[in-house]
Amino acid sequence: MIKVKRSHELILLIFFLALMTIMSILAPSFLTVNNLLSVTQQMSELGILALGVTVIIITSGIDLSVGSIAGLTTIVIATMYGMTHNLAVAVIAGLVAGILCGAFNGVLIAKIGVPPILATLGTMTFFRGIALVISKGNAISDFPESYYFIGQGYIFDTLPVQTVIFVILALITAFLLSKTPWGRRVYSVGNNPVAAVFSGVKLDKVLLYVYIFGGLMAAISGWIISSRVSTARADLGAVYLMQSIAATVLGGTNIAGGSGTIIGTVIGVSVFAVLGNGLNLMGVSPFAQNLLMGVALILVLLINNMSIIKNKIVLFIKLNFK
Amino acid sequence: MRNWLKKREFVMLMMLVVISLGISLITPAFLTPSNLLSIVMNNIILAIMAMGMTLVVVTSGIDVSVGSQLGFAAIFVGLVALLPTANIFIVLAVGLVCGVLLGIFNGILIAGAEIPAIVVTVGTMNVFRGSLLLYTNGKWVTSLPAWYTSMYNSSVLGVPIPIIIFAVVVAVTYYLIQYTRLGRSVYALGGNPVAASRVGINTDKVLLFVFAYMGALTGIASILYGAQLATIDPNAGTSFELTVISAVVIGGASALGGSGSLLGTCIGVLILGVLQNGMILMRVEPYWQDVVMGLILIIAVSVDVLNNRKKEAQKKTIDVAKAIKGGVSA
Amino acid sequence: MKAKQLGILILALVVTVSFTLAGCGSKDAAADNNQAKTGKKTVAMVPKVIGSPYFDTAAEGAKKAAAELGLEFLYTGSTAADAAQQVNVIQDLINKKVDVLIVSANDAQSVAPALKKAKAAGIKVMTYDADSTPDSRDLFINQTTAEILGRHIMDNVAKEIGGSGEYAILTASLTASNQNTWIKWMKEQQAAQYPDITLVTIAPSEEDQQKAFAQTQNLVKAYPNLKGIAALSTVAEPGAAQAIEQLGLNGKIKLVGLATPDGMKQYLKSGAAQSATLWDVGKLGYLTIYMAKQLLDGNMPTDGMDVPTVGKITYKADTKEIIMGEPLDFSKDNVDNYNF
Repeated sequence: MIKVKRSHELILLIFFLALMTIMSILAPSFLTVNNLLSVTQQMSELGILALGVTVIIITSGIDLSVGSIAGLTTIVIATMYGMTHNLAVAVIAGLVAGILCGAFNGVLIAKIGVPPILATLGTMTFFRGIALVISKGNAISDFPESYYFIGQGYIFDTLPVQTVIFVILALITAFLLSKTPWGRRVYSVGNNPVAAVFSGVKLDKVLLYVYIFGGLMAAISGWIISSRVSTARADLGAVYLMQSIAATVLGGTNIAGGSGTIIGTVIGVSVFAVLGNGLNLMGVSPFAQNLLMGVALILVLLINNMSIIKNKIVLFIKLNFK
Repeated sequence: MRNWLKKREFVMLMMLVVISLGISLITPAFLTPSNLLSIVMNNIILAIMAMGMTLVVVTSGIDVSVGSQLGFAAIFVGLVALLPTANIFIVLAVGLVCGVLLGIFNGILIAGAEIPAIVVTVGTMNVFRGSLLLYTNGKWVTSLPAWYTSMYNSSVLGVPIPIIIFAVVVAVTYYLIQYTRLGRSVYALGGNPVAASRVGINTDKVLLFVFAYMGALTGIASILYGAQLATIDPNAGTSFELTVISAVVIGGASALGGSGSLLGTCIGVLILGVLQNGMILMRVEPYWQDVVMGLILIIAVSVDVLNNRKKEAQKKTIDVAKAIKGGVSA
Repeated sequence: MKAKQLGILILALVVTVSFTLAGCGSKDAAADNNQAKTGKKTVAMVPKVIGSPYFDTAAEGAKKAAAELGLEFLYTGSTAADAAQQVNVIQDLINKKVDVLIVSANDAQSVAPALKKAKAAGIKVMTYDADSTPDSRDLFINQTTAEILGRHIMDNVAKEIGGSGEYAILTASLTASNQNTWIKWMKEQQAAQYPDITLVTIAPSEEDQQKAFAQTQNLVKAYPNLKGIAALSTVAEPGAAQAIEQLGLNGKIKLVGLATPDGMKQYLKSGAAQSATLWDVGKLGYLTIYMAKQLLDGNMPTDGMDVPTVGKITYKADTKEIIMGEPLDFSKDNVDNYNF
């Protein structure tokens, strides 16, 4: 099992390096420190969202509401700031809102037993609806200058703040998954829920915390998005929904649960970010960018499943031509 | 088992009735023949695609590329309809073939390469849409000829053509899953893939069929799409996949596979359609509509789950009681 | 093991081929190299979203102007009208070191920091169609102002429904900031000029034709006294018109709004819609690039300046804003004169 996982990450890493090489040759401005830093800045929001999604998918769940949670967080922060003029209170309220949304998902899934895809399909609309009601659909942008630090600021004048946050959160998540009992339970729930229950894992508790974690990551991501674009809007974050799932799976997390690593997800997100940035620098049509991102996703998984395909073709030829 | 399935649909049907009653109490404009007809007509495309999605979901699969497929096929149908030599049969054939090819493309990757359906279709969603936009350069197809668009509003013996097409789709799908080996394998595969392949079901073939069939129905839906709207935006169908999936899951097709029925899906489509229509008729403030819609979705699935759980629990105690009394015999 | 190596080989091959193809397909790909050779200045235009007839028509006008003025023209953006994605594209263009950056902002505030960064990097920054904050750009090319447009559309509604009665607005999405500003001005105009007209509801169409179609049918049922609909997007108005046509309500429900002439041609002629308002979008693109050239040459525009193929323009020095002119109404009589 571990061997298979490693080989997937290896293939992905080679793919990623090949991509970097190609980009550097075709777009002269790609391989500059400035540009690479701005790539990491661009991928942080998606990356943080994908951290939560990874943990959820490892439990064989899925969360379609993460984009809506991010959007709602931006609105809560902006509205609370408008009411209290206290940034700390506003941000904490936003993060709490994300946690509550996650807990709401968790209760539906873990306590009531609604399949994750159904529950989050409903909450996706519900959370977006709340954001719309609060904001009346309007963009809110009266933030103080200090709010912009997290999305636009730099540490030591070079490192984008959100890149640092993303790295720290990725390290924490990786630690939680690989070194703590909670992490082991997350994997065991995804691998075999029945066996997990019999070995004493409290299924509902594990799941509840997993979705709260997903909600918190979505909220942090929303916080960074709204700081970077200086605006709160109910639909911010919506575009990241499918991307976060795609990046996670590209990174080798098994959609059926039980396996997946944070490093894989980070590489997966990087592939998308480098692809987008490089193609922009090359001036490739955005339509072609969509196309190539889809192709990249399928290609990596095709190569991953090469042996299966080979066997099938051999079998097919045997059955039909001999 | 059959009884239980029926009950499940019964619960959803009750839910639909309760929602409809509630709306008609608030607004008299709801329960009129013309309004009910327009709810049905406005959701025919959704319903046709949801039929295909039901089979996909029953095999524990999912297809998030159907929105892109719809746009792709609709544009090609439109472009063909604009040709001077085109006629209705050519248009039908083009839509169907285009949809089937897109579906087979998905199916080969899912069945042949054993890549999970959600991954393949997230990829092909981008591939289909990207190549369509690249090809059309974002340009709309407009001024479709009247012989094509009039199809949507014509009727035969008083029944509108879209409804006839939908009826045919339901009949064919029902026949397939009820009376053909291939169709019945779909349910077997969803219920227990390991057992299915042990009893000699070619799982690859079944999966390929399911996604090709999804594509075929999307192709048919795309023909109606162009006829309904007369102009086709290459962004047509963006995020429509979520609506289709919602309808299917509200209807009770389990994402865990094995259950789910055409009738349930029809009810799911109607619940969505009635809500969409009813909220405007009830003059719900636009900002509140997503909240209401989301809440009802959540309540619907929760009630369904809780209901099942109670039944399962009863069944288990009965099973245990039986086992204790008479022992288990194969 | 062998299969894996083979796989990696194939991967490298396919990736190389696909990128080379993508590179060939796009003439702009060579811009980086060309610039050094020809010394041409590069002008990059970023719309709110790629693949909308409105922005693509503006880009055509811009491309024409760029060719005439000897500029390298680059048109790129994201395929979703999303502020965060747009900022990514702008950052990439700063790193690419273009000479002029022209943006139609998804949110006024959202692109401002990125644009300021571009200015700091020595790039001339302009906005067109939808402005950012005034301090983040050197010039804003406005087709007309939101106030003029909102009031104008309200006037159109009043003209068609006859000064009294109910009307509904079909907007793009509830979060669309341009539409929200227009609606604000429509309400002001209505309160000031047309006390007998009432706005019954604002329905979102999510930039989806089928949704616009269904919403229109529902609106007609929900409000039996409805006399008119104002559809505020290039996707919403054709969808609404098609619904009115199929309900057989041509002329009974008056439809005005904001749309391209091509999308509305058939409905204006059949009477399903009375008018569609926009401006000459191609000219907007042309004017934008013309002004980009002026900026590059170190000239600031002047009020009443005569621009070739566009005509006289208004320039407000205090807000550094150019206004192209009044909005343009397309009706069944003049729609054939336009092609976009």
